[in-house]
Amino acid sequence: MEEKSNLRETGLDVIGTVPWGTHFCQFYETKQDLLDVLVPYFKEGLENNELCVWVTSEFLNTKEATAAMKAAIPSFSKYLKKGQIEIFPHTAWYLKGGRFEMKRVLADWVQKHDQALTKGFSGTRVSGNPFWIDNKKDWNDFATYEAAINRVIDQYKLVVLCTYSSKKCGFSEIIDVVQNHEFALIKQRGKWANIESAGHNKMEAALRHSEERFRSYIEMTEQLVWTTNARGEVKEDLPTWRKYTGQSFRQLKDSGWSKALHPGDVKRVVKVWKNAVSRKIPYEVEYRIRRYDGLYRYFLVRGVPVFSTDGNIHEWVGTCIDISDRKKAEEELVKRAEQMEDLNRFLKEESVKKEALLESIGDAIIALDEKKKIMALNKNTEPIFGWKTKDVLGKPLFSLFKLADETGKILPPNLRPPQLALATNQVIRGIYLLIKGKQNNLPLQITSAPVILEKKTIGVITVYKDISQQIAIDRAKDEFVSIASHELRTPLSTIAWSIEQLVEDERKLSNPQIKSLNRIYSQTQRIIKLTNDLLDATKMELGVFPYKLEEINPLDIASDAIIDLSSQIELKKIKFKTHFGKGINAYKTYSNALYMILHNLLSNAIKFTPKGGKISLSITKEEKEIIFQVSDSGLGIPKTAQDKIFQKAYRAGNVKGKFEGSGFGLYITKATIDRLGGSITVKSVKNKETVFTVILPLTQNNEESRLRSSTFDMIGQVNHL
Amino acid sequence: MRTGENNKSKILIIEDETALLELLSDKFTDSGFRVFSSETGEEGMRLALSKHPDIILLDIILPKMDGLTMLKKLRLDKWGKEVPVIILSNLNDQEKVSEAMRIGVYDFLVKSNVKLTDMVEEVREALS
Repeated sequence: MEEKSNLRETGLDVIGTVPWGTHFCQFYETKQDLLDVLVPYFKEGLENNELCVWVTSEFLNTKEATAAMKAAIPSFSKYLKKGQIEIFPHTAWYLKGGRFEMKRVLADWVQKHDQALTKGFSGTRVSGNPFWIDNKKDWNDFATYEAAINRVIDQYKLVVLCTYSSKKCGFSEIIDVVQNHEFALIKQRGKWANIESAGHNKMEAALRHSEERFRSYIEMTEQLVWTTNARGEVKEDLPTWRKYTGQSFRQLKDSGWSKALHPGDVKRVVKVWKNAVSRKIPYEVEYRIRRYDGLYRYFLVRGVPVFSTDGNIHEWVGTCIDISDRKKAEEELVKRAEQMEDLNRFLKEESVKKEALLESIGDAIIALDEKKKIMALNKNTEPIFGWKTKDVLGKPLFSLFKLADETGKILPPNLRPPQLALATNQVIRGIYLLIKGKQNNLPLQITSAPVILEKKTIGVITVYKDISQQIAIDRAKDEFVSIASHELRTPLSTIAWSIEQLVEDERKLSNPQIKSLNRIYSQTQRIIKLTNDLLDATKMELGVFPYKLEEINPLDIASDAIIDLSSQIELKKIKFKTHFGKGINAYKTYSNALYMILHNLLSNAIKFTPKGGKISLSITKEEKEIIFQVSDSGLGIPKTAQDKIFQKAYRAGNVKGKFEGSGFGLYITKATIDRLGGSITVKSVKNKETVFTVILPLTQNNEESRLRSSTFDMIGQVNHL
Repeated sequence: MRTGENNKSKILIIEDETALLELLSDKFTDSGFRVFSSETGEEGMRLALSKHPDIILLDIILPKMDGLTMLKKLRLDKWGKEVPVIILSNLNDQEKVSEAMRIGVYDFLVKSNVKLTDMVEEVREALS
């Protein structure tokens, strides 16, 4: 329905119907030409309920026009009365107010159109004649006005017919007129003809419109759009390219555009392009295009060949889409992926390393989390605990085996080393027994260390060292020393006692015999002493430390040593002095070792100090150590010998042959002091004074000694259990 | 020097080294003791329980039963609990000394380091 009412009869056979919004023209030469067209034109309008507005100019004034209409339409006065037709002179319409004003005239047309609709007419049919125009400026204004009509006429129910005097129009004016109207009526050989032109214009306008819209889309999407000829040469302006690259049209023309490509991409792009041209196929390639500011950005470039009807490429059209951000994101993604891979590899390596580290440690290691579940462990746990690592991973440790202390008493979980370490945040170390059944209880040295992360204890790592072997070795060493001492001493005791018995009844023996027996006896005693020293030295070297920790006051030990040596001191009429410092109390030490040290140093002093000489013993206490000094007024030790006297079997030249001795005394003394974590030094002036200074720590934390002393107890335990 | 077998102090010497046992027996016999002797722990134990000596000289390394084991058993006996024992050994390990002391001995003497005379003195002291 609407479609139908949209079409209007023009009243002119050569045209037929036109839709609302049609703007056409007529070129006329004579008055009759005007009447031929305008009268049927308006007659049709009146009969079709349209408001008709006729603005007259040449040949026809308003009266003549009215007369012509009346002649053609019998009921014309009825239409006039109704106000369906208005006829103006051009002075009252175009030149109202004295001059032509486009805006006003347009507004008047719109007003008329609106009035028509208000009054119930279907629309408005108008005609105007610009014959009145007599200068170029007005012509240009009018042409602009006509073009303006074209832009808005679609919105209105208007049909506009402009009549132009062909005499008055020059060539350029005719072109203007034709361009501004959809079609023109021209009399050819006595007949009106319709020259389609404006219709074409309209399509072009529509095309232009859509092109503009397309262009604005493109501008919005920041794509670069291009067209080249078949050979890839730019012949048309590429505004988007210009805008992005900053190239001028002259610069980008032909192959100038390629100068904006990244030099590193040109070779590749040319190859793709040539391939596409030769094969006549669309192509897609990524390359960098330099922006106006010199920055290169990545573009995805697509080109499509446009074929002409003969099958040849007519031109290439294409777009360049900025993919730098995408590319960057892609690269970022790849980088992230690589980082992840690196991290993964690193973690794998770390875990392999950790595993290797765990496995490379000779002892069994178990890491527990804060819930006392096994987090990690090494294969060395298998022979000790008799499990498979994979079977116990993640299990609570304390339910897996029983542990006893050194004495064989089974420990509750809260006294087991890992739990103690967790509870105290300290490293716990000790000797324990792994309960494995009647005969095979295993002595273990266990060290538990808490794992602290950011001040929080998150787990505990425990090292289990099987010390059964060590204990066996220690026992073997002990046995060797025991047997050696026993076997060597037994014949010596027999000889010594036999001589003792012989000498007892001197009456039965001659003097030379007695002399000989005394010699044998003293040499036997020498061998016994040498044997004892040798055995002590061997013990030291084998790592056997035959002393026990006891709480004892060192002053008491010193007194014991002095009492035991008092007969010799008296015999040599030695002036013996002691100096004991303040605050010396009982402390935990290896009392017998201390006795041996003092006894050795004092007996040496007595041996090398001449009759009536002086010996003094001083004992003082420092904050963390106790200092013993034995000085004598004896032979002294030659400078060259001072650093050798602690060596095994060393005897200084000034005593060799004159004094009895094995050369082991100071060696054993120093070895013992070393074991206690102390030091011994000597200062001596020949024939004047010798001072031995021994410094011992007040706290004994000699692990090995502790370990040994406890292993001895344990041997018993192992045997008994 | 005392006379009369019954007034003499009885000493039991347990020592597996024959030469040493002879020397010890002779010395203590000469010094007026009534000497019982044994070369094994087992026999020594039997002699101790049957003869009830006043004092025992006990070696550590012995066949059949070692000295310290014998000592432990002896201390389980009502009489044996009190009898003074002197360990006489050529072992002088701290551990052995400690163990002997723990079980209960009068002294621990190292053979090579004592004279026979000193030993007799020590025994007399123990008996006084």
